[in-house]
Amino acid sequence: MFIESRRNFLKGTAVTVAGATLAKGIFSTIVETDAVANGNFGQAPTNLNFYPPLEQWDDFNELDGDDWKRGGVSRKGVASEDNPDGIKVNNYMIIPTACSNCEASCGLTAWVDKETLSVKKYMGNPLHAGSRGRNCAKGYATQSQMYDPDRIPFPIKRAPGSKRGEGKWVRTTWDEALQTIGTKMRDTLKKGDELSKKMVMYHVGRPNENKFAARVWHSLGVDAYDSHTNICSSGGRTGTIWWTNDDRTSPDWANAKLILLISSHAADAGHYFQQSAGYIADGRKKGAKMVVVDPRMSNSAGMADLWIAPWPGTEGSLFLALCNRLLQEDKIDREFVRKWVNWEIFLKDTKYLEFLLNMKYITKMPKGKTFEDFVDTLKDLYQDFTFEYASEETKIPVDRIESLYQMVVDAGNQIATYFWRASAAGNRGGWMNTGGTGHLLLALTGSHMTKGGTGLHHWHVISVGHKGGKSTMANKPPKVDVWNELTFPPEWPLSTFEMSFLLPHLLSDTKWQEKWRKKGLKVPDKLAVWIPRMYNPVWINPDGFRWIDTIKDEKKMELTMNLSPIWSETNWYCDYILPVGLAGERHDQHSEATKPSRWTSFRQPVLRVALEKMGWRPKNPSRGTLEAHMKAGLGEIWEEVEWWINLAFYIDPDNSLKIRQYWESKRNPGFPVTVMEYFDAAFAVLPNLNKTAKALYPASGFPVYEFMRDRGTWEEEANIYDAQEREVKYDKKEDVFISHGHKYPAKDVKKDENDVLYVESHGKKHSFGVEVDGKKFEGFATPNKKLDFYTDWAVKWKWPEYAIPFYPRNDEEKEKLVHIVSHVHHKYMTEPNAFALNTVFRLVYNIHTRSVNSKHLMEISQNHNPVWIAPADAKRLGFKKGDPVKLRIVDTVSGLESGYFIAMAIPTEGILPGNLACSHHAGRWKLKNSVKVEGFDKELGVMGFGAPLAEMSMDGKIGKLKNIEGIKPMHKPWQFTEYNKDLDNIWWDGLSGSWQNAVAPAHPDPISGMHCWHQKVLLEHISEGDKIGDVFVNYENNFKTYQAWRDDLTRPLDENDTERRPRWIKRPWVPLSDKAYEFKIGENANNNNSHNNHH
Amino acid sequence: MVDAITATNAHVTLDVALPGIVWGWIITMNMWAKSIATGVVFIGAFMITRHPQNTRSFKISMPILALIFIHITLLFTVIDLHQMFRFWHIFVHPNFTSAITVGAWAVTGFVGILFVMMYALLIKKSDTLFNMSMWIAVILAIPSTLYTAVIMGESNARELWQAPTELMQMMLAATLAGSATLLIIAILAKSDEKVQKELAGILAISAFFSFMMYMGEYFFGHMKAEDVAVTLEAVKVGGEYASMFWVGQSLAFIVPFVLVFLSYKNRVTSLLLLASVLSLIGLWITKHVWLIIPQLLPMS
Amino acid sequence: MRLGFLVDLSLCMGCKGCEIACKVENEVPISSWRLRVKYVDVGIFPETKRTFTPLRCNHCESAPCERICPVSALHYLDNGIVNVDKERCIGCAGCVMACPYGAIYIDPETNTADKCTYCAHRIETGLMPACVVACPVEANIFGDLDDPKSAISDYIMVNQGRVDIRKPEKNTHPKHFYVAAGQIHLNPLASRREEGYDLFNKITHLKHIGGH
Ligand SMILES: Nc1nc2c(c(=O)[nH]1)N[C@H]1C(S)=C(S)[C@@H](COP(=O)(O)OP(=O)(O)OC[C@H]3O[C@@H](n4cnc5c(=O)[nH]c(N)nc54)[C@H](O)[C@@H]3O)O[C@H]1N2
Ligand SMILES: Nc1nc2c(c(=O)[nH]1)N[C@H]1C(S)=C(S)[C@@H](COP(=O)(O)OP(=O)(O)OC[C@H]3O[C@@H](n4cnc5c(=O)[nH]c(N)nc54)[C@H](O)[C@@H]3O)O[C@H]1N2
Ligand code: SF4
Ligand code: SF4
Ligand code: SF4
Ligand code: SF4
Ligand code: SF4
Ligand SMILES: [Mo]
Repeated sequence: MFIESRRNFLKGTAVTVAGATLAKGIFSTIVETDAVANGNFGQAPTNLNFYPPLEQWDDFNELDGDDWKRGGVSRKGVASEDNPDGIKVNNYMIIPTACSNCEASCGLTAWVDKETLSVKKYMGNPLHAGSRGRNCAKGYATQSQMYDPDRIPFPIKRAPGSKRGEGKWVRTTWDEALQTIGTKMRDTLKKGDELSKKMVMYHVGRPNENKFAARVWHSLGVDAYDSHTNICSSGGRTGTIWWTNDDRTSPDWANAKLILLISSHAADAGHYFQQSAGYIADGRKKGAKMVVVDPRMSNSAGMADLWIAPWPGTEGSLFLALCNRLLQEDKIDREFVRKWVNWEIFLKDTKYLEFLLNMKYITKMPKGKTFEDFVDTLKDLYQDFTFEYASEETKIPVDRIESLYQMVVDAGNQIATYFWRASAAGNRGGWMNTGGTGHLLLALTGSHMTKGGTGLHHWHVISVGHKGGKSTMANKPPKVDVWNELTFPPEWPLSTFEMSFLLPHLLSDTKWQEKWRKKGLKVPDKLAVWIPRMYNPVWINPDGFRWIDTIKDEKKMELTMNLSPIWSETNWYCDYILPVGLAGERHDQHSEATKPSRWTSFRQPVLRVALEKMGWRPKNPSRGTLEAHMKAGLGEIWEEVEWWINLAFYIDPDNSLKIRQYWESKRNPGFPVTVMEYFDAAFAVLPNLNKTAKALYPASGFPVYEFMRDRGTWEEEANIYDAQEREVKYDKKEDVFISHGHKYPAKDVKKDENDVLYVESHGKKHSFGVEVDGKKFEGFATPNKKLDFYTDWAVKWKWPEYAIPFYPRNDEEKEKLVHIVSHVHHKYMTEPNAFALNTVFRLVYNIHTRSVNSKHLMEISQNHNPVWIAPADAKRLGFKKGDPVKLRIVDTVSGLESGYFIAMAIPTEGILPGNLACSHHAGRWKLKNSVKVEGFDKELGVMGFGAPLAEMSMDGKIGKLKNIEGIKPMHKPWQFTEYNKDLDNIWWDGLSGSWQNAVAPAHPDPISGMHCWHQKVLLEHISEGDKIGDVFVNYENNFKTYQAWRDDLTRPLDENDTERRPRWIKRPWVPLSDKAYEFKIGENANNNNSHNNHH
Repeated sequence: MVDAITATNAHVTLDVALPGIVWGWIITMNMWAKSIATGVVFIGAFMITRHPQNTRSFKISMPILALIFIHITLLFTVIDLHQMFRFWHIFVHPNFTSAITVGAWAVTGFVGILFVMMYALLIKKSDTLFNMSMWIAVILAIPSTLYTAVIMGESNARELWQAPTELMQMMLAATLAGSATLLIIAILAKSDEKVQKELAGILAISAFFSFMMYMGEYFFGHMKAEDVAVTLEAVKVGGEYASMFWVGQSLAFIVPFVLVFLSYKNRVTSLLLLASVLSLIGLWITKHVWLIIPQLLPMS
Repeated sequence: MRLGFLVDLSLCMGCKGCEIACKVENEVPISSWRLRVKYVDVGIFPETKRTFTPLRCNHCESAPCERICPVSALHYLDNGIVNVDKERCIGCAGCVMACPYGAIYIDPETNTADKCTYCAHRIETGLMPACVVACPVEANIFGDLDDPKSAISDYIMVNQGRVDIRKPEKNTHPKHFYVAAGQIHLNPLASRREEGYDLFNKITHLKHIGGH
């Protein structure tokens, strides 16, 4: 139906399926395809279901909502042969997949109309344990994204002879792309030296899959995986890593008594948005209180029992004040703290205690080494954190802190919270202000891991995407041998994830490269291949013009390809745009810690599954998704998984590089492994799933795959509480200890002075449990298996002053502890027009930059992002609602000015005075309205209902952007015409947004490595000619600002260091060898140096 | 509620775009032309009966004017339909609880009888038939002119219109428009002064009562309901439609009333001509304002 | 059978999932909405709140839209749903004038009246309305008011004294209820709706669609 137009251009591929032979293959379910079957429809159904039962998913009839408008069945009857004028009945095949619009991975079902092979709608998946059949607006928008008239229909590449960014494109084929890119990678990798292993880079936004891609880079033996995380959530994770060595918290909202949000999970965003919102609502129905700590009134704050607006980055003082009061009033959960906090290690470390005394953190040394002494020391340590002090620091009225305290007390050990972005993403030292201090509150109330409390990620997530090796010729690649300074530079050894937002800076900073090269490191000065995926770094990162400059430079990036279904500011500057599929058009194993259970989604290409269930087969089984999409008329849309597998064969056609073997089918040697084979093997790693699937599909060759194909989801384990108290089991027969499913021969097991159970291998200590009160427990993931109130290793890694939860108590301490003082702290707001600008928040119906390809989401948001300002501030400075205002960004470390952007002022009572807020969803732009592609007669539209047309100039120092034309109604787009017939009603012009990220300089946090998003701004009236949307950037200054943050604030590795980073905090993606971890510079490294054949 | 809003500071921060004015100038045209069409029948029949000798010109002009203006009404009724080629559905799928249906049927009858009058006048040349059909026309003109008020009464969303006064206003609009139109004819046809005077009298009386009723709404309407109070804000001082409202009131009612009064005193017929023309223009404006203002309110 | 709807406003968090679910399910074109979720901010800092109100057709038992429709394009189904027939509709917009809740609009694609049908097509298929299925927090309760055991009857019973309808004074007898509603949710005149850009988008009216 609405895919008609696509069909015309893909002549020959669009044969209706009805005629396809129904070959009986390994699939047991082959359905009839007659379009209209007779359903029993009636005005008074006995039962109203949320979803049809699973048995009916292959063949379900539903009356058509649009055709119903003709008066419904009572007037027209049901369509049938006898009644052709009756209301249409759609014959659906309901195929499960998973949403990809945020990382919650909620279940989706695609309602595939068998007659037209189009997805009439996406709804939820009722079988999904996390999402329970529900979805937010962004989930439902998957359909409008799918039929976006400006989708890229086939692979294109930069026209030969043109420059990057000129906007000249030619049509190409997937085969050509495989060939060219595969060859380039092969040429790079076959050198086999250290440097070449750092010159391929995969740069991914929210991956929305669990480690399949990591296996790709692992199998290539390169240190190539650059995640976007340090613009997202590193700061949020750092506190949790320091306390628990786990990646993130995982709250049990549904059973909590206090839902404490330093985020906006209840109504806006947050990781796992709609699932969290659902569980929060469940908790509130049962009487839980909800408090939101946010300088801006988010939707969550707007509906909370208590909204508390702190000055950004001062939350640490609030947490510590709450802790202090709990301590002074003896309201802490002593048993929990005694059992599970590492106080003994703390009290044993006399040297450190002396350091604290010296720093005046404590007034006296602890009396002894008992638990009581620990509690007394805590009382001493935090005694200055009164509510009055916290109020002065945070600007929160004391009575609100009192109210919060009462709720904390009432909640007992059922406080659920999630440390993610918010303060942690906005401020220098944000990690300490959230997780760093927040975990103390959780520990003191005993809320860790309880029912209704705050659990931890690794117990609640399933990660098997990289575990399909059983289906391939070789299972697990060896550890990678190199360390890439472009992702983990020596200045940030504790950086939680890659310093990905500094990539263009590091690539252009020849001085920095030289400095480390001189010391013996092999720092690359360019990339042979750069591959962004699900990522729009140009727009989404700070310092956008620096990004453009760098990725345009063919000397720094030799070949670039963007795996992207749609246009973006980034792919405008790439060599290849390879249109891979959206949520319902690709395979992923995807799981997230949304509740105290372990579930996974299986994302699938729904049209392919539908076709296969109808009996269709791809000619090339390793390209099934591409072939299916062409057959269904969607376009030459492929997917990542099959692309990578095929690419491996182009990189290493003869397995001489020992790469191909990891992607070569064991079943069909010589051929690429198929998704069916691979995911069957990967999912089979889950014992409960494996057992269930085999029982249900006894005759199948791929039971686990088929199980996941038909249901799209699986819950492996539910109700996971107090997991640290799982006992280490002793198996008498085998004489082994069993922990986390691993066996440890009893004879090798030792116990250290802190009662930690461990074994040694290759001279390294591997701890797997801890003895508490005579019982052996699996414990937490930290090296000492307890919660690290005292992160002892932070001392060795040069940050002793932050090894315990702390916050500066006075101006003097703020100078000294500058690393945890926000760069937008009120003490920096010296000018009358100075403000802290909150750039960190989401709107519930927007997805970063991804809303532009959904007409429905754009209609709500309209590319509008105003500057929130308190009415009194607006009045004081003479601004009225709707006025254009100029925001000059100034850095409080370097003192340099970055330039400005012009946005619209909207006074609101929803913001703490002295603060401004501006979201990042809007302010998209494009440089051309459409693109003529050689070899194709239609023009490809560019972000037609989302991005205004702009004019840009940049000279290496100054960058400028100005909107020149707003969004206009679209008349009959050539692609998906029928579906988009309503676009002539577009009524917004999209001219009220501004690309603020372009102006922002990079602010790398010296410890977590997080880009600290907030900005100090000077608010001014506009000058003549200034218009909303204007951006002016001095990106030369921004470069100096990055350098200032690096040089003035970090504590880099030096001659005395021997390792790149602590081993226990994961390098998240690929396992690295000892050699890679080894760090040698200075005199020791002379040897190395002479071999540095860099140029 | 205005005070309450000041206290709560409640304001919409996110909403969809709402439909703007749905019934616009086309509906005004419809009502205006219909007032003339039915008005000339009312007033014409009245005058013809009272002054059979001096109103010859009315006998021919009345049905012609009525036909012209009722067709203008029909034209604007149909073009206001978003599916104008389906207007016949009203006859094959009528819903008689709807004043629109009743009105459509009445107007159709009215048109029919006007043709009968023309037939009687021009072809049959039968006074009996003419008179008989004239009285039927008068009867049919009543629902034809009043149904709009009933539609407005059925417009539950527009509290302003939901008043019995609206019926009177429709009737007065007809007598005002009818008298004004015939007065123009009378003046141009140099009819008897008595006829002119009487027509002017009807005009002035219609204007007076209509004006009084509008003023009643203006000053007391807010007591009826909150919606009405907010609706009327649009015509009060500073309101979006305040000046248009007063222009309408002046042209339709105040000025013609004064002019009629002056012409009575000074015997200047040109003043009556002016009064008629102004009142017709003013009526259009007045009807338009009244049609638009309740549509400015958000319903939800 | 008397199908009814209930929204618990203490739960609704303004995600607009229902709004888009409805658009997709019923192919509601750009510039029109069968269902909208309105945000109203209330109060002065720091005592500020945000309210969310989903607004759709009430399926009134005494529906002025049905009464005014000259051709019975608007008509009742046996289950109480007020249904529309775009092939019958002549586009007079009488219903738009009559509905006190602004629930009807003229669809720019068909030039006929349209509104929420309680997803009558899904009801007849034995499925819940699309917007009910979507809601992440189960703020939407749908079912048979005649059945004392239905979820909606139960909800109304349990929340006695907290159940309201919009504009009771209009005597339309809505079959759409709200729990935990205040004036600000139910009465459009209890808040300012200023034309122009606001915090989240442009608050505006569109030129009337469909020809003129
Ligand atoms: N709707 C929607 N949901 C999403 C996404 C999306 O694009 N759209 N993206 C997903 C992604 S990638 C992520 S990382 C998560 C992030 O989700 P969250 O962790 O919730 O993070 P944010 O939305 O960045 O910020 C949450 C709140 O923190 C407030 N805040 C900002 N600065 C400060 C501060 O200094 N102190 C305090 N106390 N509060 C502050 C903001 O005003 C905002 O309301 O959301 C995910 N969910
Ligand atoms: N000022 C400010 N900036 C921010 C934030 C903030 O709060 N404030 N938040 C930050 C955070 S937390 C994050 S995570 C980042 C997010 O930043 P990104 O991950 O870059 O943002 P998205 O807009 O989600 O992703 C954009 C690109 O993904 C591609 N894409 C979309 N769908 C698909 C798909 O299905 N498959 C593939 N292969 N590609 C697809 C398209 O090319 C699209 O342009 O933004 C960061 N930037
Ligand atoms: S919460 Fe995220 S994953 Fe779930 S439906 Fe919404 S956008 Fe999709
Ligand atoms: S809410 Fe409006 S459209 Fe719906 S039934 Fe009632 S009057 Fe009719
Ligand atoms: S617009 Fe259509 S549905 Fe509405 S009253 Fe007129 S004919 Fe009936
Ligand atoms: S019941 Fe159906 S038509 Fe009505 S608002 Fe919900 S989704 Fe839309
Ligand atoms: S889906 Fe539910 S929570 Fe979201 S806006 Fe609609 S009613 Fe409210
Ligand atoms: Mo993120």
